[in-house]
Amino acid sequence: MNRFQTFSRSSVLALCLLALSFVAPRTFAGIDDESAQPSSAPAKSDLGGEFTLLPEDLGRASKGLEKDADLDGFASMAVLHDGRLKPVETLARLTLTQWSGRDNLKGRSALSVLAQIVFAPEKNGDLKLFRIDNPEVAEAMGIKPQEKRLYTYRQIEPGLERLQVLAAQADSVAKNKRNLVQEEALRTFTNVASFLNLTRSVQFALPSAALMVVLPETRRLLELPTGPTYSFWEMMSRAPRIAAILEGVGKSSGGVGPVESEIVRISRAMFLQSQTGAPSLLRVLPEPGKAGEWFSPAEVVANGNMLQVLNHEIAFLAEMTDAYRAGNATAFAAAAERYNGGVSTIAATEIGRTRFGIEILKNRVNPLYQAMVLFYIALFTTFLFFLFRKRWIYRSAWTLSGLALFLLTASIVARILIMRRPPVTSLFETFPFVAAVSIAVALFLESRSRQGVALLSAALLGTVLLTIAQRYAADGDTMQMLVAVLNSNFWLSTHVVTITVGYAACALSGAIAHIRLARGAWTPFPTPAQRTSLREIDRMVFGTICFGLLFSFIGTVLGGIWADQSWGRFWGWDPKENGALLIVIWCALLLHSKFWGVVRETGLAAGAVLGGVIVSIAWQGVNLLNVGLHSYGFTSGAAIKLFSYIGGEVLFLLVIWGLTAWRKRKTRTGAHTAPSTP
Amino acid sequence: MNPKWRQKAARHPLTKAALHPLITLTGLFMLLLLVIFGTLYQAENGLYEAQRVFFGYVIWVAKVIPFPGTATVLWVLTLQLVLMMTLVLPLVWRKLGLWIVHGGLVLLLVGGFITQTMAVESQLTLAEGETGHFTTAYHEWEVAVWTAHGDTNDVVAQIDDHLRPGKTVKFDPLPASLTVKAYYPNAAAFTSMATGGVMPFLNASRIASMEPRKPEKEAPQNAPGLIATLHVNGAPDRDILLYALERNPLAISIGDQRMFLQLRRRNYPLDFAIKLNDFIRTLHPGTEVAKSFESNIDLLDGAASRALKIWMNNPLRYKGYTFFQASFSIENDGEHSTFAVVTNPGRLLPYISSLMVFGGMLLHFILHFLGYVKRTARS
Repeated sequence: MNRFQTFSRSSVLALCLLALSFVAPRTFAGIDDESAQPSSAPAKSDLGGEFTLLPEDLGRASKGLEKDADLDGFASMAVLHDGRLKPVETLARLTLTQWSGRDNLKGRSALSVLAQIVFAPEKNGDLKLFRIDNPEVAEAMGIKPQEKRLYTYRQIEPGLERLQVLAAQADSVAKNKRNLVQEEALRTFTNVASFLNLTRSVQFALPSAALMVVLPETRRLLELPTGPTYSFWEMMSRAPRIAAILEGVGKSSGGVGPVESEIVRISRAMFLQSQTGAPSLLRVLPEPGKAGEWFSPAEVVANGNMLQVLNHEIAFLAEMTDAYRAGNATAFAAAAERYNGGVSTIAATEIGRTRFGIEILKNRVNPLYQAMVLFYIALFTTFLFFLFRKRWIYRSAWTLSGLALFLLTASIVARILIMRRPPVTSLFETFPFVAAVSIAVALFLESRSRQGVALLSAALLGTVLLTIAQRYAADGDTMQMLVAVLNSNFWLSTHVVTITVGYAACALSGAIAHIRLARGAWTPFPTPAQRTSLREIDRMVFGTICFGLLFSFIGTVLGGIWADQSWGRFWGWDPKENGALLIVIWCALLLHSKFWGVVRETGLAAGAVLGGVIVSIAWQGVNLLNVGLHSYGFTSGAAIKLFSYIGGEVLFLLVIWGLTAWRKRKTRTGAHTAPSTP
Repeated sequence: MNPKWRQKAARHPLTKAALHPLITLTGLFMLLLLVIFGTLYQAENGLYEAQRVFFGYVIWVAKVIPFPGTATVLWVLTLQLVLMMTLVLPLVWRKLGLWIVHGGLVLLLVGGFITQTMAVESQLTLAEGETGHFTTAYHEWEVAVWTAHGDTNDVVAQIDDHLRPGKTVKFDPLPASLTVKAYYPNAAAFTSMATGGVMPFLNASRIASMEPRKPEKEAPQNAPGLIATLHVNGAPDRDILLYALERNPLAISIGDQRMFLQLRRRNYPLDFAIKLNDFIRTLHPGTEVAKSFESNIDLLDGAASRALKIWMNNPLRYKGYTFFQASFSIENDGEHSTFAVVTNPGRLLPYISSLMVFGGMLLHFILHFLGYVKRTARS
C-alpha cells in the first residue's frame, strides 16, 4: 500500500500541484467540461454554498467495518471540538445524541455510525438519524411526518431548501423569542448541515465521481487499479506522471488524443478539489509547533505548506479510509495506530494532557446511567424491606445503594480526571454531585441508625436527582469549556463545591423529613419504641439542617470572596447569591425556631421539607430570571417543572396535616373501643 | 461566672420583650421575603432601582401600605444581637462557638454598613497606549465648570447629582452662578428642528428641548439632562441646557474670561496614573468562548514606573484602590480595556467576620456531632 514511496516526498508533490494549477486551466480552456463529467456528479441546488449534498454512489463499493473492536484506533483519535481535545468516540456520541436524541442507532454504536459517515458517506442516506419532534416542521419542509419522529437523510433531502429558508428565518429571531417550530427548524438544519459536513471529512481519500477514468489506456498509463473511480489522493500519488503527460500535451502535432483529454479533465478536477478546503468538524490534524491549532484533512490538503509537514498523517488517513472500505480490520488498525502515533508525536504536550482511555471507558460503561438504574432497584428493594422487614432484603438494599454510590462517584472522578477541573462546573454537574454527597451522608447516617429511613432517603434522592441529570445529559455536551470569569480551578473547587454540598445537605434533610412526617402522621400516639425511632429521625433532620447551614454559609461567603477578588464587591445582590442567602436565612430561621421551642419536631420536619423548596429555588429558580452572572443553565420548560415541584410539596404538607387529623381521630376511637373487647 | 448585673438584666421584662423570639424570627422571615421580592424586582427593574427601593427603611407597597425595608430589619436584628450578647448569652465554654458565630455576625453587619456608606465603585476605560489619571462613576453625574489657561484647566466646581429645582450653585471666584430649573435623571434631547429653529436655551449642541424618560433598567445607561438659569454678577443672564450625551462643553464668556460647563459622569482623580500598554484576549481553541482577558499596564507614580499585569480574578491593589479587569471593547482606534475601580475601607471585614461565623459554627456543630457519634455508637 505504500504508494507514496514512488515519488520523493512532498516537495515534488507541492510542485506538481502548482504545475497543475497553472497548466491545466490555461492550456485547455476549450475542452467541454459538461460532456466529460460523469452523469452522477452532484449538481443539485446549492444550500448557501456551505455544503454539497450526500453523494449517492462513489463508483466503488465499500464493505465497511461495523464492530467497535475493529474501530478502536478510530475511537481514540484526537479531535478538537468545541475548544476541547476529545476522542472521536466522544464526538460520535455527541453528534448522534444531538441528531437523534440517543447515543446509539438501534444497538449500533455511535462510533460505528460515525465511521460509516466519514469513510463511506454514500451508505448513510437511509439511516434513521434525525429526530424532528415537531411534525409542523416536517410539514413546513414538505415532507411526510414520520410516526416515530426519526427521519433518514433521504426523507429530509427534498425539503432541505425549504428547511434552509425556515432556519434562516428562525436565526433572525432573537434566541429567547423563537417559538417551538423555529427552534426545531433551526436545530434540524444545524443537524443536517453537521451531518453533511462530516461526510466530507476525508473526501480527499474517497473515490470521486469527478475522478472517474473511463479509458483502460489511461488506467494503464497511470498504473491505476481497477476503478472506475479514484480518490484525489490516489491520483496525487500519480501526480509526477500526470504532470509529465501534461507537459507533452499541445507540443505534439497530432492534436489532443482521447487519453490526453481524459488526463486533462482529471487534472482539472484534481485542481478544483484541492481548492475546496472547507473545514469539517473532524479537526484531527495538529499544526506542528502551534498548540490549540487543529485542522480537518480538507484544510490541510488544500494548504501546500501544511500538507508538506503533515503528509504522513494524511497518508495514514487515506490508508484508514481504504482499509475501512475494503473491510480490512487489520490494515485499518495498523493505519490508525500509525496515524495516532504520528499525531501524538507532533502534539505531544496537548495529547499528553488528555485522558482518552478513561474518557472512552466512561463513555462505554456510562456509570451515571448504571448508578441511576441501581438506585431505582434499591428504592424498590427498600420499599420491600419496609413491607416485609426481612434482614436479607435490608442487606440487599444496602449493597445496591452502596454499589450505585460507587458508580456515581466513579463517574464524577472520571470527569474530574478528564477535564482536569473540580467536580462542579455546570448546571448538569450539580446533579450528580449533590446526589453523591447527600447519598454518602445518608448512608453514613444509616450506618449509625440502622432504621432504613436514611437508606430510603438515599435511594429517593438517587433516583430523582440522577433522572434529572439524565435529562440534562441528553441536551448535548456535558463537558464544555468555561468562560474566562469561571475559568478558575481554585474558586470552582472551593465556592462551588461548598455551596453544592450545602444544597446536598438541605436536600437530604428534606428527603428524611418527608419520611418523618409520613410516619409521624400515621402514628400520632407513638408507642415508646416508635417514639425512640422517631426521635432518632428527628435528630437526623436537625443534624442535616445544621450541616446545610454550615456549608451554605461557607459557600455563600466564599462566593463573596471570589466576587471581591474578581470584581471588587463582596456582595452584588446577584440572584444566585440571593438564592444561597435564602438557604442560609431559612436554615437559621429553622434552628432558632427549634431552639426557642416555637416549633417542635413535626414543625422542624415541615420546615425541612420547605427547605427543599428553597433549595430548588436557589438552585434552579434563579436561572429562570435570566439576570446576573450565574444564569448559565439551560432552562426552557424548567419553570413548569419547578412550580409543579413546589406545588407538590405544599400539597404533601396539606395531605400530612389531613392524615394526622384523621389518624388522631381514628386511633383515639380505637383506643376507646379497645377496653371493651374481651 | 455570670456577673449579677447580667443575670438581673437578663430577667428584666424589658430585656425579655426586646429579645422576644418572635421579633427575631419575624425579622429573619421578613429578610427572607425582602430577598425574594428584591430579586424578582431586580429582574424586572434592574439592580440599581431594586437597591433603592428595598434598601431603605420603609417600602411602600402599592404606594400606601408601609412595609419595613432592609435597613429597618437589619437594624432591629443587629440591636437584638448586640443586646443578646451583652446580657443573655451564657458565659460558658460550651457556648464558645455561639459567641464566635454571633460576634462574627455583628461584625459582618458592621462591614456591610461600612461598605454601603463608604465604598466607592468607579471605572477606568483606556485605549491601548492611553494613560488614565482619573476614574469615572457608573451612574453619578456632575456639572464640571472650568476655565482654560493655555493647556491646563482649572476646575472650579463639581456639582453632584442631587440637583433639585431651585438649588443655586456659586462658582467662586467667577462672578457667575447657576439656579437649577429642571433636572431629569434620564432624558431624551431634541434639536431645534422640533421648535422650528427657536433656541430657548444656550447650548453647545443645538439642543432645543428635552423630555424626561423612565430610568433605564441598567442605571449606567441613564442620560440625565439639566436646565438652569445662569446668573452673572447676581443678575439672571440666560437659561442654559446641559445634556449627558453632548460631546463638547458649553463655553460662556464673562468679561474677558472664558468659562466651560459640562454635565459628565462624576470623575474621581487618582494621585497616580495607569497606562495601558496591551490588552490580550484569548479564546478557547476553535471557539468564540473567551478563555482569558488580560491587560499589561504601567503603574506611574511620581517618577516611579512599574510594569504590571491585570487579568481575570487577579486585580491590582494599590494605595487603597483595587483595579479589576472588567470588560473590553474593540473600536475604530483599537482595543479598549475597562477596569472596575473600587475603594472600600471595610474591605477586610467580611473576610474576618465570615471566618468567625464559619469557625464558630464548625466548633459548635463538631461538639454536637461528636456527641451524636458517641451516642449512636453506644446504642
